[in-house]
Formats: sequence, C-alpha cells, structure tokens
Amino acid sequence: MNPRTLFSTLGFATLLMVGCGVDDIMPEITINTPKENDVFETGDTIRAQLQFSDNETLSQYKIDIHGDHDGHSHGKSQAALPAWDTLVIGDLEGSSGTIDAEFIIPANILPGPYHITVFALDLNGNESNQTRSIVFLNNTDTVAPQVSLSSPSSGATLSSDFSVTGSISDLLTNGNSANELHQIEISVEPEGGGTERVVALYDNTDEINAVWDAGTGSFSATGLDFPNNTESGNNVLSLTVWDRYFNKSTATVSIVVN
Amino acid sequence: MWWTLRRIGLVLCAVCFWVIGQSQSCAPLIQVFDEHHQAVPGAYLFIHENYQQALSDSLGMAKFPSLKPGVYHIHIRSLGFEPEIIDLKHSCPSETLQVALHSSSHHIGEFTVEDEQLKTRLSESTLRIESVDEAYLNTHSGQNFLHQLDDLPGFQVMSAGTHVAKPVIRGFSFNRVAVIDRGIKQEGQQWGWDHGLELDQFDISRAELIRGPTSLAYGSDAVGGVLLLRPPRLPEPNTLEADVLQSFRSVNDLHAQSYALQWRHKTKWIFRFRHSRQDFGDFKVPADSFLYNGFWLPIHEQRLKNTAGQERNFSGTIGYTGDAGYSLVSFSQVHQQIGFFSGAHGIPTANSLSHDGDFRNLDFPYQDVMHRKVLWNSSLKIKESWLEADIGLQHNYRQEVSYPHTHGDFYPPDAGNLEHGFDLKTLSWNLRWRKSGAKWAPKLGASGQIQQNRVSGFSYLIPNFDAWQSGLWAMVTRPLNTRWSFSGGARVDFAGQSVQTFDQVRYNQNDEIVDTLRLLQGFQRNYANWSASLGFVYNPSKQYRWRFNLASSFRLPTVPELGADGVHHGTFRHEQGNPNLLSERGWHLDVAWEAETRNSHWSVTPFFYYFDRFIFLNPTGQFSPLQGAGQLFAYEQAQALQSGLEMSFDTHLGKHWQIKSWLDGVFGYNLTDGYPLPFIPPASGGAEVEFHLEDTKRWKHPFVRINLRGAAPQYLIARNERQTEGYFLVGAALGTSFEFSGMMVDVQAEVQNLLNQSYMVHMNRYRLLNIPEPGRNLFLTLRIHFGHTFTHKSTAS
Repeated sequence: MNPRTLFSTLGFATLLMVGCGVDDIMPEITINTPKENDVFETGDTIRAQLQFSDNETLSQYKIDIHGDHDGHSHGKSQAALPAWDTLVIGDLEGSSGTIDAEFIIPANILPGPYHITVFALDLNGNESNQTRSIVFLNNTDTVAPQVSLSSPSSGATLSSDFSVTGSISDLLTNGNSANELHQIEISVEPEGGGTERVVALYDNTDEINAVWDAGTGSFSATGLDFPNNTESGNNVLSLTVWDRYFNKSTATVSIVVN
Repeated sequence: MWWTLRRIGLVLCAVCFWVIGQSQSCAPLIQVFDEHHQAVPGAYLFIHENYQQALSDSLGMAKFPSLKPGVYHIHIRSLGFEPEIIDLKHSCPSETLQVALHSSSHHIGEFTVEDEQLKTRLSESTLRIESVDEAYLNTHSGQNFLHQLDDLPGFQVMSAGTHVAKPVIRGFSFNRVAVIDRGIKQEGQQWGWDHGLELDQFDISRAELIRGPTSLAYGSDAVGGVLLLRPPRLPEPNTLEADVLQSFRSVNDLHAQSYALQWRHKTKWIFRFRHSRQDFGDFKVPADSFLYNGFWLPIHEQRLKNTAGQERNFSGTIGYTGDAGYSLVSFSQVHQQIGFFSGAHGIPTANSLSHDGDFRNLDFPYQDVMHRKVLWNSSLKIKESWLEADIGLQHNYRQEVSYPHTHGDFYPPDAGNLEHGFDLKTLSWNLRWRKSGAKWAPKLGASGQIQQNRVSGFSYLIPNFDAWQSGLWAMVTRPLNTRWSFSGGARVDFAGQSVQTFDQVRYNQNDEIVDTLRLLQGFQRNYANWSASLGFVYNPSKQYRWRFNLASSFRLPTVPELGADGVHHGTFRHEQGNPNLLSERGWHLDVAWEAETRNSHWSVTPFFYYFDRFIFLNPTGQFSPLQGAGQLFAYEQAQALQSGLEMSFDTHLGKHWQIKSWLDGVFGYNLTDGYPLPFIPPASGGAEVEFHLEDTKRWKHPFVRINLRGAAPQYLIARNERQTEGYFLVGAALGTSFEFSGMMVDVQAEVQNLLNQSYMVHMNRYRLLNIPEPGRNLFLTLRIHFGHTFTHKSTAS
C-alpha cells in the first residue's frame, strides 16, 4: 500500500470515528401470540403473530420451537417419544415488518414444556431474540402418575442412611398401565421456603428399575444421605415422578433433618 | 513418524551432552563492588549460556567453575542494588574482572529484565519489556497463572469461568499473541474462545512480557506480543531442594497441591520433578439469577452449575551443564477436565440450570484436555559465539464431551458423547547463533514447525490439516555513541497448509443415512512472507530513556480461519472460514519513554498499528440453518487500526512503602466499515500500595498490601457485541516468610474482589450470558521450601 492510500484511509477512518456513529442498535421483536404459558394439544396449530422493527434495515427472522425437557443432562432420555423441534428462517425488508406463521404440532411428539424463540437480524448483523414458554399435551397420556409415600412417616427425624418407600403407578389416557417412567426425584426443602436440594435422581431405565417395581408399583430407595449444606430442622421431603409423556406428580411428607 | 523424530532427538541430545563436556578451560574471577568501592558480599552471579552460578564472598569475589575462553552473558543481582548484566570476555589465564553495582531501593529482581531468548537487555531493547519474577508470582495470587499477571500494563486475561484463560496483549489475543514456554511456542487450539492455556501454574517462576510486534524473532503469531515463560531457577551444586505448596481458593473451593524435587549433582547434572494437582467445585458469583433474553434464570446458591473440574500435572527435567553450554531435556503433562457452565452450551433454560445435588461433580458438557510435551533446550559454545537450540514436540488432545441432540440431523447413531475431538501434534524448533562481544552483536536464527491436526466427534467445526512453517532471521544491535543505540533485523518465512476435504453424513430421525454433505473442499495453500524491524534506544541522560521501533510483521491465516464451518457451542454461533484469506500485514510504530530515579520509575508507551488484511469474525446479517447456531459469522479481512498506550509509575517511599500504578487503553477500528474491532478490552488501571515491615530474626519479608483495579465501560463495540459497564475492585493481601526447622516457610492470604462486586469483563465468554465474574475470593497459600547441600561431596571448582 502506498503512503497516499494509507493516509487517506486513516483520514477517512478518523472522520468515521468522530463524525458518524455506527449502527449497534438491535432490532425489536414483539410476540403477539402465543402468550406466555399457553397450552396446546398435539395436532393443534400454533399461530405466531410477530412484529419486527429496526432503526435501519431488517435482514432476517428465525422462529425456533424446541423442547425444554433436558433438565438433568440425561441425554437420550426415557421419554416415550422424541421431542419436537422446528426452525423457520425468512427474510425481512425495510425498517419494520409483521410475520404471521402457523405451525401444526405433530401428533407423535413428546409433550411437556417447550420454547418458541423468535430471532431478528438487521443488515449490520445486530441480533435480538425473544422467547415464550409454552406447554404441549399429548392425547395418548394426559393422566399424571399416582404417587404416595409410606416412609418416612410424618415428623420423622432423619440424619443419614435413611430409606424412602412408597408407591408409584401410572396410567395412559385409555386406562392401560404405562409400565415405564421417565424420571424419579427425591428432594428436600426447608419448611417455609429455602433452597431445594436433590437427595437422589433416577433418570435412566436401570436406575429406575432398581428402585421401582412396575408390576406392584412399590418404590423403595435405601441408603440415602442428605447432600452437604442441607439445612437442619423442619423440612419437606418430596418424591416427584415424571411419566414418559412428561406428566408430573409429587408426594410430600414433613420431616426433621438432624 | 513421531517416534522416529523422538529417536532423532535423543541421539542429538546425547551428542550434545558429549560435545559440551569436552573443554580446555580455567576459572574466571569477578569482584563485585558498590559505587563507594566497597566489596559486595552475597551477590548472585549467573551465566546464561551454561547455567553456571556463583556467589560473591566477603571480599566480593565470585569464582565460577572452569570456563572455556569466550564471551559469557552474566546476570549479577544483590539486594539493595540495581541488577547488572555484563558480557564477560573470558580468556585463559583469566584476569579478575571488576564490576560496580549501583545501589537502588527497588526490590531485587524487579529490573533484571531482558528478552532471555535473544539475550537483549532492557537497555538495548527497542520495545519495552515487562517482567515478573518468582518473588512477585509468590506474593500475587491468581485463579490461574495468567491472572497473576493481570497487573502488568497492556496485559489482560480473557476467560471462561475461573479456570480457562487466554492472554490478551494490547487488545490482541487468540493467534495474535505467542506464549513461549522454555523457548517453544505453546501450541493448543488457541483460536477458540473457550480454550485455555494448558500450563502448570506452579511450574513457572518467571515471565517476561513484550508488547508489540515480535514476529521477527518469534514468528507469525507474535504480531501483538509475546509472553515468555521460564521454569524455576536451578539449585546450588550438590544441593537437593524440595518445594511443597498447598493452596486454597474460596471462590470455587479449590484445593491445590504441588510438590517439586530438584537436585544438582556437582555443577553438572540437573534433575527436577514436579507434580501438581488442583480440584475445584462450581464457582461462586455474587448473583442469584441472570437476565438472558428477557428471562431471569436461576443461579442456584450463587454457584454456576457444572463449572467444577480438576487438573493433574507432571513435569520433569534432566540436564547437563558444562562450561561450554548446557543441554536440558524436559517433559511435561498437563491434564485438565473442566465443566462447561450448563447454561453456556446452547441456549440456557431454567431446566438445564436446576441444581444437580453436587457442587463438585463434573457433568456433561465438559472439556478434557491433555497436553504433553518434550522439550530439548541446549546451548553450545563455538569459539567466540554461542549456538542455542530449542526443540519441542507437543501433543495437544482436546475433547469436548456432550450429549448429542436426540433428533437425527447430523448426528450419527453411534456417535457416543464426543462432540469435538481435536488432536494436534506439533514439532517446533528454534536455532539461534549469537556473537555477543562483536561490534554489531549479530544474531541469526532459524525456526519452524510441523503440525498435524486430526478431528473427531459428532459435530464438525474445523478440518483435518497438516501445516508447516520455516523462517530465517537476522538481527544486529549496535551502540552508535554513548546516547544512541541501534537495533534492526529482517526475517523471511515460508509456510504451507494442506487441508483435507470434510464430508458430513446426515441421518434422519430413524438413524438412516439421508445424504452426504460436503462441508469443506480440501485445499493446499503456500505462503512466502517477510518481516523487518528497525529501532533506536536514546538515553539523553542517566534518568531518561526513549525507545523507538518501526516494524512490519505478518500473520498467516490459521486453518480455522480458512476452513471452519460449524456451530461453536461456546459462542452460540456458526463460524465459517474463508479459504481465500491472505496473510495479514501489520505496520507498527512503538515509542517508549521512561524515567528512572533512585526511588521511582515512570514509563509511557504509546503504540500505533495499522493492518492491511486484518482477519476477524464478522456477523453476516444472515441466520445459520444449523440448529442452535444463531447468526452466521464469517471470517473476513479489512484494513484495521489498533492504537493506544500504557503508563506506569512505581515508587518507593522510605524503606517500607512501595506504590505501583498503571493505566492502559487501546482502540481498534475496522477502517473498511468504521466499526470497532471485536474483543477490545476497555481502558483499565490499577494501583497497589505495599507496606514492608522490618525483617526480624524470625519473620522475613513480611508485607501488607492493598490493591485497586478498575476498568472503564466499553461502549466501542464491534458488530453484535454487547456494551459492558465498567467496574472497580478492591483487594488486599498479607504474607510473610519464616524459618522453621531448617525449612523456609511462606504463608500468604489474599482477598480479591473484597467487596463482592458483581461485574462483567467485556471479553469474557460468560459476558454473552450476562453472568457476572467470580465474587469475593480468598486465597490461602502455604509454601515450604527445603534445601540441603551435601558438603561431603566436594563441589567442582
């Protein structure tokens, strides 16, 4: 590069820096529908009514619907059906625009918590997004599992090496027995609120079969210990069960952590 | 191939051991005086070329073992004096050389500064060199080694959590700075934002920072600066030394242990071994939740889920030091397993952040990095000159482990959980020939490296490639008169990259193959480049010094810059290479002004860099079609400007007080579109006030320190970066040493972020998620040093 080009470029750059700003303003997104926590059944249509605007020129939008199930990094979960995800990318023009998109929820997908995230880009690469949490139900199984606790008994004092027993059963919508569960969690939380602590989590077939008998419905977990930092005193012990269609039930009992 | 190379290395090594053992020599005598012609006892003298050392006796006389006639580069240090560097012209029979030291209230070691690689002393270097020594590192804690250097002006750390960190010099990072450990450039996957440096924090006892273009001597990556790392000093002859360190850090409940043993047999043989381990839990932040995409997401008990991990390191050295040189063979293994914050791998959700019951477990996703290296450092006297060789073989195996998405798409049915495997092997060499006593002090060098990278895993990001580089350089340094000295040099480089085609097989939801997608067409690139520098040091008086340096440098595009194409989960974006990128060309002007009195030191170092074809990741304004990828970022080239300055002021008030302060600022602009460059740190500054108590019979070097550091807001942001507010942090430390049963014990406590401020660092990875930096952090360190000299074996004379 010759010195003249160098100096003229530097001069131009100085002017740019001092004289005019650059566009670092993100596009704005308004999600009119769906609303937060809207509930849909499989087979329903989700209507996404969206508004976009930017201080300069819009470039693209993206609508991403994905499951919010992966709570405990269990990867290939025991869920009965695969979670659904879909992605639509489209172009926008000018400084504002509206999009009205429809998505039919496939019949054969894992119900439960989902996200619909809407992204927008302007031509300068500024990016923004908005997310709504939505819930899908599956007609195959809309029945929550039945959960009860037989031990510990209410008011029992527990310190270490304790057991939790009870009964868990699960039916499909048609009344047939489900036979398989997605996840079982035992947790404690101080009475009157505080930090919930997970005592045990069973989230794969082998772990679940070791503590739950699908035939009799009996649940028995032994040799349990409270995690470090569990607050002593009055606590609520919870046994929470998710079935393979992500219906969830909890049984609780008051205990004293020693 | 790698085994053959190792064998060749061993044979060369053996030859060198034999050659440097052959000599006809005599012992030189050096007498050390102060400015009042009084003998200085206890001065430590060290010869760089052959690792020989001596202490002056009560008459100030220091006697080295026998040396062959020649020119030797000697460092002389003594408490209360400015360190001196001399070139000793030694002949047989030897004459006594007299050296006068100048008294100084600066602490020992502070200004024993030089570019050890090139033996360029501070008074000759046309770029200012910052340096920290063992005493500094032992009294300044850091979550990892780079954080211990945080207070060097112009130096910043880019981190992902507490354990993954990368150096930033004058706003340059990734492949624009080189970290040279024992003469060999550390080679990992430095292009990645969430990839750290695989080094043992406790095996480094000295670091030199050169800000500015250093590619003349250090090659392509050193356009922004270089960090030179040194191992611990050698023990005295016939001395067995043991070092035991125990450290605790509260922010992630880290427990670290490091044990070292070293032995020097007579003056000749050196053996050293170190083992270090660190275990840490999820780190604590001063926040219960963070705002992401308009959602408040929980931070369970103020600890970031799955940021726990561990580190297991071994290193050892065996070496021979003769009077005509040395030959050291070192090996090391650094193994890190560090979790990725569960919210930072894809879009965070409240579900993925719920507590898993354990703050110390390592769950998916995590990184597992094994870095092994074998280094051979040697020096050989050839008549009046020295030939130095550093040869290194490194193997960096990085695995990023996570569950594949359960849907089909790109993920093969038998993929396992390895998302990315990067297997990088590097053979590097640096040869230097130097004639110190000569009029022009010529230095010639040859350096190069061969690399092989192989990838695995269910996701594609960078390709398989083979690469090589080879360069030749020459430098001269010459005092022109009593005030001016000149330094200049030139380098030519040739390089090649051979990148393999990558085909991605795609599967449907039933794990059946749908089609094969060509993600990258293989290519071959060859490069020829040059770099040059020209500089002057001007000493108008004893107090002031100016340095001027004009340089042109280059940087090769890296293979990820040429051939990446995939989702980088750590950054939520689809990064796309561009096989048509050309080498970067930089033009650099550096100026340094320094003033020094008996008690104070000032420096101001402005710089002005212009780049033609600066390579950077630019958002395209288009979405990637890949799941969870966000926007498509493509590597582009533009004209760019990077400029700024550093200022520092250190002073000693009386015998007890020491104040250090610094300020730095850098601006980077893309001249093609007027946007600021990405990853530019905000202006920052800091100060520390240290009070040294008087030594007593029992307590040695007791100190108390308060330090302040802060950063301005960064509003000058690149496309799609986020503005970051400034912060101000307070810290404090106290420590002392004492002797116990013949052992030297150092104890130290330091608190960083004393006020538990919630703040964000602009360049850090978790900044993208609005997650604050670690909260209050208490460091406790206990170090026990034990040395025993076996006097019944006579030392070599």
